[in-house]
Amino acid sequence: MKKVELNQSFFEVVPTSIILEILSRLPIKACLSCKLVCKDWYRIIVSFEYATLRSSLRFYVTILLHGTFSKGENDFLLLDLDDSSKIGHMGDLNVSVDAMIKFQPELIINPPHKVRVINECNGLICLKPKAHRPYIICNLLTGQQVIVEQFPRPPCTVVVYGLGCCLVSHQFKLVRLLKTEQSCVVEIQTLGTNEWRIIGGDNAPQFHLSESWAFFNESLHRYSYVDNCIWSFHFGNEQFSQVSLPDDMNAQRFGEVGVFDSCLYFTSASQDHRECEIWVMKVYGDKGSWVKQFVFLKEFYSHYMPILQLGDGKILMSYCNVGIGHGLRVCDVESGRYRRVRVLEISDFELLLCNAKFSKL
Amino acid sequence: MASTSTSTLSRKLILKSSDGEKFEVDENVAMQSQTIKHMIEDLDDINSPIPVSIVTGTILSKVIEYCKKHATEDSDSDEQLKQWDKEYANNMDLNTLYYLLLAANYMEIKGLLELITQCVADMIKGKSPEEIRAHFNIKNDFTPQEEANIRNENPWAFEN
Repeated sequence: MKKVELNQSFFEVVPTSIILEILSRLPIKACLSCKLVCKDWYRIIVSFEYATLRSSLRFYVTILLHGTFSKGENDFLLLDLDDSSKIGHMGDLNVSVDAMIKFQPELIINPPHKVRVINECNGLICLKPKAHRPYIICNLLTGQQVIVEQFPRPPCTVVVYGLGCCLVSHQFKLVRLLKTEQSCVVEIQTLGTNEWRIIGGDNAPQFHLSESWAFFNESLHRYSYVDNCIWSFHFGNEQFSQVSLPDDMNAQRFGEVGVFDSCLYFTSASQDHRECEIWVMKVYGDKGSWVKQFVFLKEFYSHYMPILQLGDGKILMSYCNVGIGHGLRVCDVESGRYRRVRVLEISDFELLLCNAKFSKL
Repeated sequence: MASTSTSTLSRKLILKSSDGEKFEVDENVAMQSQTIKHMIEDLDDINSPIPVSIVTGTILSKVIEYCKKHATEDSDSDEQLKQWDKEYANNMDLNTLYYLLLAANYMEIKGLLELITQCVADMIKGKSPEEIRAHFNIKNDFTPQEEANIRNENPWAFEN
């Protein structure tokens, strides 16, 4: 072994691939400190490669909350959770200070509470301000923001938007579906070009507004009630393809797709709508690998989506009710019961997104 | 001496460190290293020492200690094994960790590499940039202006 005077620096002699591996194991708060350590580390932390590796390794599930956590009214709270995260008997989520960041980002378009998160991809968040037309793509952690103009095309109406990225070209792209009375058109914009390109027409999938996207395997996934399948849109070849659901699955009014434990999942309701079923696709693309993983009791018109399995076996879930909004629940798999989760003794907050990551624009 | 009845037992291999120290280990212990596994496949004579050319005897003995623990399928539960790993890593100074990291990387022992990278990551957690530099003896190569600019990317990150 090469003799190294180690009293110089541990990291000067460690291969970059190992530094990348070490830094990928850090919660976001520590990542931000690491940006300031030295130039080498800064370059690693803001690189596309690092963002991709960190999000594929999934040591943490990062969630973003919005609410009144201090005197300020528009606090965002970023939490890095792992299976050592605990929820107390009263539903209090214990998060160490090392894994929590409280902040108030300055968005191009204010006020920030009037925004809705469309989806997240490799650290960038696509926001839709309620009263404004353009969309904002931003990285809350580096403060970088880009505005994407809609350039509407009457008489088409925009049905669905989604943000994704191509892992080969490292380009972020926004895809949208436009609809006229007869047909549907798919358009895509590579960030920075300010131009929508048409990539498909007529036979584009049909979605409802209420469904949400999940970015996984370089593709956005979304459930279509009309086709009773999951459509995936690949950001490399820019094409739609189908991901089949189990044969015995009935069409779902409120089917949602997400990522849990590095697998794609689908939520469905039991026939009497009393229970929520979580189906997990163990091998991506293999129809035979769908497994009914969890079943929970639920109220009518509410969705539960799994975020993380905690050390004690309970499941942290996002909860959505048309009237109440988004929040957090913890569910006991054995009994199928759930409890509202409080963070910093506050239960009245909005869960903006799960699996948040970050990378440079 | 060696009778045919022992042929079902694991074969012995001899690993030779960079400074010439020899270690006799069970094959299943050594096979946790992907690098050694591939070397054995190409080996004509199983009894000749296998050179682990960049790892010193001191470090190799620690690597073998880890591999032995993880090769035996005895009564240790996952929980006990985790605890053992933790103590194993905590007993190393930064110097040793560094050499172990390089050895695990070179010998391709996935579990050991994960254990040590996690251990180093835990050292970084909860520290300020200044404390990280001091702990690992990293030189700050930013100008004050550059440092201020990066701080401004997300000023709130360093407040709470």
